[in-house]
Amino acid sequence: MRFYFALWIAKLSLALINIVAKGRGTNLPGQIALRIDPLFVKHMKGVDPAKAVFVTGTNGKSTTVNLLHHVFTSSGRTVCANLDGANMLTGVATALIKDSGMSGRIRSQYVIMETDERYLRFIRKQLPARQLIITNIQKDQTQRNGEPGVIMGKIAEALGDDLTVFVNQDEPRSFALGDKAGRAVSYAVKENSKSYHKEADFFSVTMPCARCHEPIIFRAHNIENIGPFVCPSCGYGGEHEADYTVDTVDYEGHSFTSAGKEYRFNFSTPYFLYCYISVLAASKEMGLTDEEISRGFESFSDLRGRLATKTIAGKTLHYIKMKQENPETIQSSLNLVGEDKEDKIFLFGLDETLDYFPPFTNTLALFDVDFRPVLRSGLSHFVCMSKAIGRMAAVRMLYDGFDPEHMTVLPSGYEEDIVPALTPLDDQPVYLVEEIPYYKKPKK
Amino acid sequence: MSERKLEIAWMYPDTLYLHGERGNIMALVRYAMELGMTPHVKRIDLGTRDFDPLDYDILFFGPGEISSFSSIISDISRYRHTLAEYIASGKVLIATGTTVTMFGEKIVRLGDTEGAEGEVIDGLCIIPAMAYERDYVYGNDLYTRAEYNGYSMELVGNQIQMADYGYSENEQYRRFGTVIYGRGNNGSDGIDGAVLVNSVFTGMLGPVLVNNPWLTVRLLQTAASVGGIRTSSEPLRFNLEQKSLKLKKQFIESKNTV
Repeated sequence: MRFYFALWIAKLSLALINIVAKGRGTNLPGQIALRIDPLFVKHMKGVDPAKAVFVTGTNGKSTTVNLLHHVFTSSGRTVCANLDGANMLTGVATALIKDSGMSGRIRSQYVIMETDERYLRFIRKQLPARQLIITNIQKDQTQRNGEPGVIMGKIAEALGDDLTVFVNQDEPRSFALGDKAGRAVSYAVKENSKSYHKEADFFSVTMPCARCHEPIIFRAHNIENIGPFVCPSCGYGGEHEADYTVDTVDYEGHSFTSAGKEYRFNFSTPYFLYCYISVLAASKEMGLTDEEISRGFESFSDLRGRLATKTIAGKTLHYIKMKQENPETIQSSLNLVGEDKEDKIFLFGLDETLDYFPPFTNTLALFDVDFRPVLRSGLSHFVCMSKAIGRMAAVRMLYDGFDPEHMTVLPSGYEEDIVPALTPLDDQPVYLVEEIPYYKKPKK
Repeated sequence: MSERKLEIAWMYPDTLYLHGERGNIMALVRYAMELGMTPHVKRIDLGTRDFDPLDYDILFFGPGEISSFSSIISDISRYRHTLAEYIASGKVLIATGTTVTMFGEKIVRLGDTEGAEGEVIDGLCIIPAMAYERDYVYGNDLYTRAEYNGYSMELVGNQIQMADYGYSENEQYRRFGTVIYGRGNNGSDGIDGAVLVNSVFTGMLGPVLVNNPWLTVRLLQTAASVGGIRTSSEPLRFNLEQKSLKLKKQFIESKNTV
């Protein structure tokens, strides 16, 4: 009875939220339901664990879930999913509430959920999905995660013999988790035209092997710290071919091949290849045909990209969203800016970390990333924007030998600070890398 | 006869790799040059065969994952006595972040169940401290007044605390920083890190020597003095860093929280 009460109150709250702000309410109904019935998700009816897939990891969760959802639904299957990214237990509960009737039985055949790395173990206790895709495990949100090993440990707690885990063979940490599940299916992307090799630079560092802690060697990077790797000491990573691989990529022609079949790929950045190959692996293992998967890939486009173009102070502004707590996405953003070899103005918005309590002046990533791809590509002016740590970003550029005469430190990324700083500069493209979409709204 | 180089060992850079520690090596190199020295950095990895701590003037250990500590401790154990001799001789060792706990007596890891103790890692027994892995990460600013080699200075940086530890101060083991804001070693004794002769152990991590170049210069001057290397007496300026320190202090003061 408690379950039904929780369900009905949650549904009522959902209806009210839809009146006040349609499209919101991705967590609150689930929060209410779980407050009334802490095992609410477990008590939902009609969920078949064999037809449930979770997606977890540091980067790529949302795109992977959206692509997987699209492939399944475009082949006529019905899917309950949390496409809005509400990936805690409350978000999962809300998605189930939305998909169910008054009896608490979900209508969809399949459940596909994005799950937060830290909370996967709690979610899986209530909804024991038999499939889990792990995208990658990287340094992220150090204030709550500390070190990647902590996240590995938390994901490992959710694994068991009843689970098929899809692991990224090009990412040393997540690949290691394959040993802890009943069955591991690996996926990888072969070296391609956008792969890169890091300079044998004295200051470059790699990462410890997940098995023996000796330094890992990447044969190539398809994206930052993800690519074919091997531990020269224990051989980890280089032992086998992955079960599913992207064999060739044609970025201009928007296609890739895997096991001799060609698939449509509606993107031009390698990052998405890992989403595609993991979805290909999971879909095939769950019984979809090549034709069904191919049709889904053909018609998929992710509208929530990290790139945008605007005009500011009469100049073209290329906006690249980064996750400032994740050095790998900062590095990918810097690499992207560096692809443009024309002279440019670069705005870098590393800011204080305000997402979690307490806020802090986080400068950890500054020397974890390499600014040389930007510096060498033709940088005429550098602008950093932050009240408390902007000057340290400027110091970082001094360490790379950039002329301080061509640097500006702004107290914020507010438009009214940026525009006067950009106006007197030459008419060149402007690249803005920061966490907050576009530049910040005008000051109040 | 040419002046000998300032020898810096960057310890286990691919294993103690967490928070952009190369910035600290770059800072040591930058300011060594500004002080008129010729720095030479060598990377020391697990199993490096010809490593003798006494060949160096500065050893730098950045923060790493606790899961890697056993491998590193096992590797260092090959020259533990030489390392103790190195520290006792007044040479400079710098350890930051959770790696400090490796120099204590033991690290007690979390167990599988709440409140239970797990694996116990034997440390290098250089500091008389027991460390206990925390059940949640503490991440925040760390603002201290540090005492080093007769100099007092303000330091601001970040702390990502994975394990708490404590020790009894005495003439041999002195506090490095008195916490003005943040957690320090354990959140209760108001101490950050330790100083043993001229070696520094601090919970402050990330580019701490970039953020606080006044500390970097003192460490370099100490290493040079102990190693008999001449340094320039030209005063150095840190305008950007000092402005940054002021703004970070303002940010910290505006938080009204610990």
